[in-house]
Amino acid sequence: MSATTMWIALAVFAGLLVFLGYLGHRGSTNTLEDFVLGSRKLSNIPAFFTVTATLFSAFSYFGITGQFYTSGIGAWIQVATTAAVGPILYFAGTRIWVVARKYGIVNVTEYLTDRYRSRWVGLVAGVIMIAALVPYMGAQFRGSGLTLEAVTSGGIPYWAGAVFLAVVVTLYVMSGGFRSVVWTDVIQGGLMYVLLAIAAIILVATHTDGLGNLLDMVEEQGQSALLSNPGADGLFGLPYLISVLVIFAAAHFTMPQLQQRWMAARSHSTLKFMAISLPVGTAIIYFCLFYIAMVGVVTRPGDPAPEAIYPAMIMEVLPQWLLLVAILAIIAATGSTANSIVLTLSSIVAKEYVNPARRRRGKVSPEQENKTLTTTARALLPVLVAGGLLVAFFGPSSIISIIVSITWPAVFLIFPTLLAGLYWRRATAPAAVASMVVSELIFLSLNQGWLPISLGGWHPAIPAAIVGVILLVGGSYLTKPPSKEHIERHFELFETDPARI
Amino acid sequence: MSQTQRSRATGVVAIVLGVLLAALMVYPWPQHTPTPIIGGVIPAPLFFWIIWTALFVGYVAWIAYRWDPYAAVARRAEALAAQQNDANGEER
Repeated sequence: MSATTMWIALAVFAGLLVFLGYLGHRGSTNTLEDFVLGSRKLSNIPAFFTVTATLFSAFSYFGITGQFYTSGIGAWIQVATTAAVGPILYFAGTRIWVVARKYGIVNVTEYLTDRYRSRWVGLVAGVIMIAALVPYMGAQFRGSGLTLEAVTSGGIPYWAGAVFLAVVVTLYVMSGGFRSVVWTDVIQGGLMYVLLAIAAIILVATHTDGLGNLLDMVEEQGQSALLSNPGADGLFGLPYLISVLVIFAAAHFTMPQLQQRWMAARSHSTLKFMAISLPVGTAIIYFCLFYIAMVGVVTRPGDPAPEAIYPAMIMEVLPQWLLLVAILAIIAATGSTANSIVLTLSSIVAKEYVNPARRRRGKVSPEQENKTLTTTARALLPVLVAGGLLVAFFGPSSIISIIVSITWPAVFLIFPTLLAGLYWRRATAPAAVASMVVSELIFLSLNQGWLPISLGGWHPAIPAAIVGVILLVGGSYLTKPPSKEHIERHFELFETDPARI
Repeated sequence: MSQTQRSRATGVVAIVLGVLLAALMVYPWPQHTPTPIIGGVIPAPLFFWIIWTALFVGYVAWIAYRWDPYAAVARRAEALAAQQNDANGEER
């Protein structure tokens, strides 16, 4: 495909996204709650698209296809993780949704600071989230750069594709914040589902005589191990599958950009709808990706770059106009994840780091503070995006390695602190800080091989989390919790017994 | 049986069911065994994975819509938010 055609399509697409961003801006008010949560008016259908579009990214198109191709059917465990987050979302999600509405809380670090009555808890959680999510955002820019470079045979260089996405995302998020993100996510999410299904159907129909024939061909090639667990390379043994279920279910709930969607729900009914619809959307995407990967197994055996098989295959079979739309869908998937991350991180940095420093300089009215916070969050967007671009240019090369090895486990290790805050009155700030810091250090040491301990197939985040929970419980009994009045500000909202209200 | 006891019993049932379904989701089909292709189009582990996941979604729907132990908590929060919105409207 020529670079000129691609640039024209990208310009039209970027224009549409920036226009949607402008529509979001028109309906907004100049408060932080509106900028990062759309005044908590997220309803069912936009919620479905924005949650799945936020969750699925370059990772879904490239990483998961590559994992099905290399390791086999076990990658489906990720669908199970989105189902397993349902009960957590109903129980813990309702609690945090109620507290956030009552006290005007806009992100998870602000909740932690308020609940534990300690800036340190929010600060430490914020540092972990920033360290985990900036590479995740960088992976999206990387996905954009790689795709555009591949489909134009180098006509659009890698750096230009990455910078293009970064600039467009910055423009529309700056313009309307959460409303713009949700509007663009509905379009980008819809495009992602439709094009993925079309690509799967065309790929299977072009290369095989149907799904049955496709699976026969996989077996004839001696790749039947891909169709069962533990998979071709033995990755999906039982300890690993349990690890992934636990880590990702808890991390889906804790991820700050998803937390903002739980907090933004218009009603409890929307929150419940998100719990039910998330695994359904995930299953549709994984179902398509599994069969796309199997087409890759039979048509491109032994491909040295399994993460690149999806764009490579669609380039061979799709007509030019449909290929153009399919490429835009990939760019849309990367953009819809990056936009949510950058908006969330900007609110975390503004609330947890910039605002306390500004407060020390003098007192201002709540209205003035709100206005300054919103301006600060907006101004931080290009700075954070620049951080993501640095990762895209100089970070690790494999998208899946960034995500699996850093982002999700790191965020998962904040989950015990979050859950204890919601359910255990005795949990204390020093114990929460110790739990997060020590468990992250243990995870990092195990993951990097600095601690030479055999884990028997378990993910390194699991033992780290166990230590974290022990520290949280033990430390809480040894230290003093916040005052009863402070704790009850939260817990009285959770009372289910009518006699005690 | 009082309402609290009934709620506790439902909670125990919910935990047992949740653990059972989670166990099926991490072990959808015996490992290291030949894989039949169901209906000629879908490998058995994937077929059963879809079934267990669907059952788990049904389980979440049961918690959220049938049992709904946080219904009163949510109603209070929504009523409070409505009151605050009304008050803000009057102030303007």
